Order: sequence, then C-alpha cells, then structure tokens
Amino acid sequence: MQATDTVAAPPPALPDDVLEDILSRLPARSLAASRRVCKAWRDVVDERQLLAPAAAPPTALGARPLRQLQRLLARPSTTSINGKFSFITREKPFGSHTVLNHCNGLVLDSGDRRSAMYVCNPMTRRWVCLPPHHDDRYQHQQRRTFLVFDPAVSPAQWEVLMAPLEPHKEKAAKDMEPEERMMEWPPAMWRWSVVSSIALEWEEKVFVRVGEAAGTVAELLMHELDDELEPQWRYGAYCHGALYMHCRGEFISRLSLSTSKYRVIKSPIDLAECHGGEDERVLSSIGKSGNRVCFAALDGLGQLRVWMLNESGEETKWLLKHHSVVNLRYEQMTGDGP
Amino acid sequence: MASAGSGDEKAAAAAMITLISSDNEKFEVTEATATLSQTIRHMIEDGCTDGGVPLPNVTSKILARVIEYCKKHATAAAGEEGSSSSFSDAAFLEVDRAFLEELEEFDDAFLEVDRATLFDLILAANYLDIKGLLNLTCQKVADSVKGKTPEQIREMYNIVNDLTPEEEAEIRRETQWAFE
Repeated sequence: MQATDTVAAPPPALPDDVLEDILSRLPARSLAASRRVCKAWRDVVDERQLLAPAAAPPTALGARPLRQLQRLLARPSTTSINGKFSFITREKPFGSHTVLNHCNGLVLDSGDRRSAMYVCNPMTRRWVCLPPHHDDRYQHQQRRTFLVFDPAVSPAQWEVLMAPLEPHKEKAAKDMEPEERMMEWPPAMWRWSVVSSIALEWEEKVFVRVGEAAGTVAELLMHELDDELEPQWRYGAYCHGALYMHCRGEFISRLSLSTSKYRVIKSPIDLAECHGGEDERVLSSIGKSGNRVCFAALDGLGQLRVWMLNESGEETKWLLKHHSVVNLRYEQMTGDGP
Repeated sequence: MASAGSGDEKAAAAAMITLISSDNEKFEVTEATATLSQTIRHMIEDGCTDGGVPLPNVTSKILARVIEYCKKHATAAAGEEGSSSSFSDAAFLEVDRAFLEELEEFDDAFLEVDRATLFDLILAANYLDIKGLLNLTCQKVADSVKGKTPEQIREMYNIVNDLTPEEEAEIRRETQWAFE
C-alpha cells in the first residue's frame, strides 16, 4: 500500500488538538523521540503535559495535576541552574519574561504573552503553565500575584494567589459614587483568586478581615502614587503559613491561608514619609530574614532602616534592627526584581 | 459498498442532504450518513442545510472517502439500534460479531492510503467532527510513529526540523533515558 507514497510537499500542519490526540497514544519512549521531531511536536508534548516521568495512576483528582506535581518536585536532572528560564517552552520562544514572585525555591514567572504564568523549579527545570484566569479583564501584571510554597509544611503543594484590582484601577476616580469612595479598603470581605497545585483551576478565596481597615477608597485615591513610580509587583513574604503583602508604603496585610482571615498591620513608616516630595519619598519593601518578616525603608538622603516584625498573639511590633546611610540611587532600588 | 446499499435506499426516501466539496462537486447522502458528522448534525438541527452544505475545507477526493466511511458506519449504527428489539440476545451477539469483524476489515482496507491522504482524512474528520474516523486515522499515525527515531518520523511525514542544535541538545539532555 505505502509503496505509492510520494510525499513531496510537507503535509498540512495538524491542529494542536489533533496532534495531541495522536501523540497521547504513544508510549513514553516514542513521546521522547517525538519531542525531537520539530518545534510544533515538542510544544504539544510539553504544553499538554503528555510526558509524565512515570505512569501516574489516575486518581480522584485526575491524573494530570498529579503528574504535574511529580514533574515539579522530581529530583534535579542537572545541577546547573538556568537563570533565564529558557527551559520553559513558551507560546512564543525567545521573548522577554518577568519573574513575578518566588518562594522557597519555586519561581512564578510570567510568559511572553501577558496572560501566561508559569510556576517553575529552576533547580529541576520542571515547570507548569497556569490556566488562564477566567476573567480576562484581570491581567496579572496589573494585579499582585504571589506564590506560596513551604516544603517543610507540605512538600507537594503550592498555591498562587492573585489580589483583586484596587478600586481606583478598575474605575476612574471621577466615575465613582460617593458611597464607593467611602468604602473601607481593604474591604471586610476581600475576594482573591487562588490556583493550587491540586486543582489547577482558578478559584475565589475570600479573606475575612479581623480588626480595622487601612482606610477608605477615597484615601487610597488621595495618596495614589504615579503608576510608573510603583513597582509592577509589590513585595510579599510567606512566613509561618501566612502571606504578608506589602500593600502600600504605610501598611501590610497579613493573610492567613489556613483560616482565610486577614489583618492590616501598620508599617513602621507613616503616610507622610511614603508620599513626600520627589526627594523625600521613602521607598520601602518587605522581606524575610530567617523566620521573621522584615521591613526595609530607604529615604532620599540614603538612610536605610530595617525593622523586624515581632508577633505575639494579636500584638505586632516593629523592632528597628539596622540604621545606616548608604550611597544608593532610587533607580537601583525601583528597578530591582523581588 | 453493496452491503450498505439496501439499508440506505430505505432511508433515502426520508431525507437526503447535499454536500458540496471545495471543488464544487455535489454528493447526495442520507441524513443517517451525514449525521455521523457532528458538524453537519448541528447544521441540520439549525435548519441550514437547504440548498446543500458547502464544505470549503474538503476536496471531492477526500469527501468521497469520508462519505464511504460514513455510509458503512451509519449502517452499523442502524443495525445496533434495531437489533435489541428484533433479535434474541444469542442471535444478536452472533450477528454483532460477524458485523464487527466485517467493519474491522473495512476499516483496515479504508486506511490503505498514502500518508498525504491520511493527513487530509484527519483534517476532514476533525473539521466535520466525525469521532470514529478521527480515532481511526489518529491511531494509524500513532502506530506508524511508534518505535521510530526522530529522523525516521521526519522522513516519513516530510517534516522540516526547525529546532536549533542547542534546542535539540537540550531535549536530548532532558530525556536522555529515552535515547540510551
């Protein structure tokens, strides 16, 4: 029959779904060979996660998330760390990418197209592409996105949390009704989007506030920084099962993932310092030192101060740990990644 | 398709659908045959098949083959539907087995095509949403790829290797186990 084969012209390109249908019928060894045929074949094998390290038994959760977990947490195949994340097979190769967040060795990377986000382990070069958010009004670069992973607590689980848009980013100030301006911020019920390694689907997670709000929407508007002065992302720290989110210079939110409650913690600097003139403005950031959350502030005179957060029950206190004058320009601080 | 003829003629009185290929050839088929395609089934349900169904993605050569497949399998489907009431279980099983064997032979013979035609059939089955045909043709390609080296696969389907040497080296490294 195939003696008559005269395949002179390349065959028409098959749609990805069809190619997936074909390749998913192949055993692992043939799949590995298929990845080397051409880009289109490699991309389908990688993006559709066809090549699992081992045949994972289908479970109630479905085989796919389990496979992805195994991929992500597998032992490193190579010891060199690829800092450019070129091992991720993106929709468009060789484009730029941004590291949005990282946590205990896992990195949240955004793809070339703005909608794609990847959780990857640079050590093992394993990665997972997150599903697109169902509400595409919300692009992750406008929202703050955090990766949460603690191998000591749960070695096989991570979550990506995406904050809702702040009211003034969703609606121009002039279009707001008076009652909208008087709304507390952050709200008593703060609706976030979460995707976990288990479900691999975006879900809503409501954090209920304990204690006072930071202020009202009107105050948020009044003290809004120019967009370009604000870093694309805001820093966060994951510590003791809670996400500390640096909301604005003057306050931090502590979101407990287990209880779905959050509280506002005033930062050690005040509003006046955060929104001073060009030369006086204080740049701030939070981070983690050992097992404690710390807060760093740098003012126009090069004064660097670092505080540690001391928590005992409901009480929170900032302890000044470091105070010095450094020779550093603003741009160097604003331009840095998390 | 002598065996399929008599069944088709009975249904023919009920409803005929005209399919028009990309090169403007017209094919008259029964509704039972046409509705193996989910795409056409939806068009019939929406009542937009008057004056024929244009299929701009399918040539007459491929459409003729697709119809051949659908006729055979539509008869099979009709046989299954009627059987539960008109045959006793034992008799039905016997008929069923014989028919399935015949169908399998038909499918095997149907796939005796060159690889370019095979790809065209896949594209048509995908476009027309004919599950059975898509399954059959995809399995055929998968079987032909199994156990082959990347070079053999490329040669077989005349696929251009657009991977850079660096990318190839990286893939090799990642899945070294498969090339040992």
